[in-house]
Amino acid sequence: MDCQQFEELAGAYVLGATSELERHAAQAHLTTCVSCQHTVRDLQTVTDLLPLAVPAVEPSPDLKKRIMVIVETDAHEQTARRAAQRLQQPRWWHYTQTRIAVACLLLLLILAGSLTAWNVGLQQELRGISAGQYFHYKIQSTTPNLTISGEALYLPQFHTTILTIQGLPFLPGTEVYQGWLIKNNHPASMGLLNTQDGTGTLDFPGDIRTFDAIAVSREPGPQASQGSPHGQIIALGTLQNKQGQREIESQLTMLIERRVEE
Amino acid sequence: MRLPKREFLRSQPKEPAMSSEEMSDTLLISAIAGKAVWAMDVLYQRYHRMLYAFVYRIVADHQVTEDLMQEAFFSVWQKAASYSPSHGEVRSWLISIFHHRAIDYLRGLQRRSAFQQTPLEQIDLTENAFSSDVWNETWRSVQRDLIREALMTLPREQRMVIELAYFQGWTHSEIAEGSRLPLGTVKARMRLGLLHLKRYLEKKDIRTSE
Repeated sequence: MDCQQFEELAGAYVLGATSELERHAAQAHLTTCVSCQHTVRDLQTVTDLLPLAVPAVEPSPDLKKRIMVIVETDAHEQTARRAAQRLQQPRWWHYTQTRIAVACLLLLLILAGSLTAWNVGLQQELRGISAGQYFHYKIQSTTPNLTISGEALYLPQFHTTILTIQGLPFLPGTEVYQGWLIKNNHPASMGLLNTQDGTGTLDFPGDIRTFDAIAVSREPGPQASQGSPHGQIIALGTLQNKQGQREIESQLTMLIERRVEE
Repeated sequence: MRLPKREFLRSQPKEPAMSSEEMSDTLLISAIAGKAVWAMDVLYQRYHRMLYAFVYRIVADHQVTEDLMQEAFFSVWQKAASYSPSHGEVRSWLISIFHHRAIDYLRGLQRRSAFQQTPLEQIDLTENAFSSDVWNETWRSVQRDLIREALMTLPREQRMVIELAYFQGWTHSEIAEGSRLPLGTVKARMRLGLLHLKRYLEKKDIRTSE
């Protein structure tokens, strides 16, 4: 497909009125043509306003409950799966049956505990949203040739920090991305990031505000590195105000230089 | 290893706390990607009225609309990590997800044997137009009137192809066949109609650019 052909199809494309074949051809053309990308953005902004032209219809009050129950159930299942994964060590198959039984028991206890906590937590979450506050910290790439960016959100009402990093390069083999909190030049692991399509997320149960900085490193894996980063620090964000930044900057530089020397 | 730039370290001020209602859409989606249930609640509150009315306009059935809303919001929950600001605004991304769900449903039914459903100019705006949030509904009503006004300025043949394609899920080929028009004419009407709308809305100072 060339620019003229795309121009003719552009209206149908943004209205979703093309055939599958044409849509794929148009998308292929768009990946290489900045001018046609601009055309699409122009027309898309108009189609995005069309939903506002329809009459207002109030949904049933039960709809929100139905949706949130599904979301909360899925969130709970994912938490349980992560808990189960943490229990599985690399030498799992060499463990004795007793150890396996202990691990299963722990898992069951975690699931049972989580179910109870979940019920309580749901009520707390619903109450906390209207008065909900959060602390937001930007995280940026440490290497100019990588377009990595992200943020850390600390949610005091849940005592939880959510780390989200975008633009992560695909990692070969067993390599992993690991989050770190740094205080007085000493790093502490936050755990491994869950990565999908270049986006990494990490749910950390704790308050990050007392730390100096937050960092993401590329580690050999498959397990999280212990003690301090063994690989390259690829993204970094400071968690302190401007007064403390000069000192932290110096500490971080020392930490990274020490990694280089090792 | 390349050391971080000093300029970078200086550009990271701690941001003040703010309420979840003040969070940008992009931050909300980031929180949802991190599986924050509260963020889904805020996103639902922010967009459910507009999206419900939109989906209902397409499928014209409350039960089906509720089922599609449930599927689409769960899809947002699952796919939030794939959202990138470089692909456009969150609102645009949401509209695209809900639009595809509704149109896929219509196409699956294969019941569009004629140019059915009520065209935009015949819709009774007072129908079911109740909302518990008076201010939001008033503001939406103002926007709705302006956009409807813009649609009504289109030549009827351009408005019809946009209506059939966007709200009823017809492809350009189906419209050409159903209205016995050359395919090129249908494609041109779609493109010219949207450009006409864009110019009209810009004159009225309605934001059409990102």
